[in-house]
Amino acid sequence: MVRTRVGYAGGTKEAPTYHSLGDHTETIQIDYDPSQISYSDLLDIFWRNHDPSARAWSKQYMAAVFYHNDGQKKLAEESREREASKRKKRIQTQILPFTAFYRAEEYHQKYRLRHERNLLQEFERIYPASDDLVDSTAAARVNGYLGGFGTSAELKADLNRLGLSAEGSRYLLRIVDSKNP
Amino acid sequence: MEMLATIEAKTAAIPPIDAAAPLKTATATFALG
Repeated sequence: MVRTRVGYAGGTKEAPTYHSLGDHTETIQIDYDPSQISYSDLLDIFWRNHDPSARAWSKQYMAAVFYHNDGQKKLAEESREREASKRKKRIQTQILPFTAFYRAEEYHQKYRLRHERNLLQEFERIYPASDDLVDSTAAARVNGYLGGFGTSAELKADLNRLGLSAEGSRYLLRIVDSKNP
Repeated sequence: MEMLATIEAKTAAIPPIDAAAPLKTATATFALG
């Protein structure tokens, strides 16, 4: 995983915002290194992290794969078929063509990191421009650790690549130790 | 020179994992409901 950002996709409204979403859906977009992780692996993570049989009550919160090319479409459709036969339930998750993605407002990005003021300030000093901070792999990793993903052993292996101060590193390690020792 | 020094300082501050980000990536888009 190289970059992550949250935003709006799948609709027709130009320049949607959280309070004027139109017909868009809340999405996460990921830039990844295909030599490190495959699209099939990402699909596995996707299916494990939502309930595909749950009916969406609004387009804003619908579950979907937005495929970017024919290869992704084929893999996504095959994975949906596997899920359907495994779960023996009707799958509500949509497989749709990607059209456009609009970044959500700054306060939605790197949500966990935003709630850790000291760590956020360290990244803001490195990346004064909001989009640059959002596009930082280090910021995405720290956001993930704060969200409870990744063990303290994994963080220790990562720590000297994240650009945090010694104090920031110790602080993050304490949090992750308490969540995922 | 001042500008170069600023650029150098910024480059030095970039986290190693960001500096090593691959140039070629693929994109995936998901909605989790």
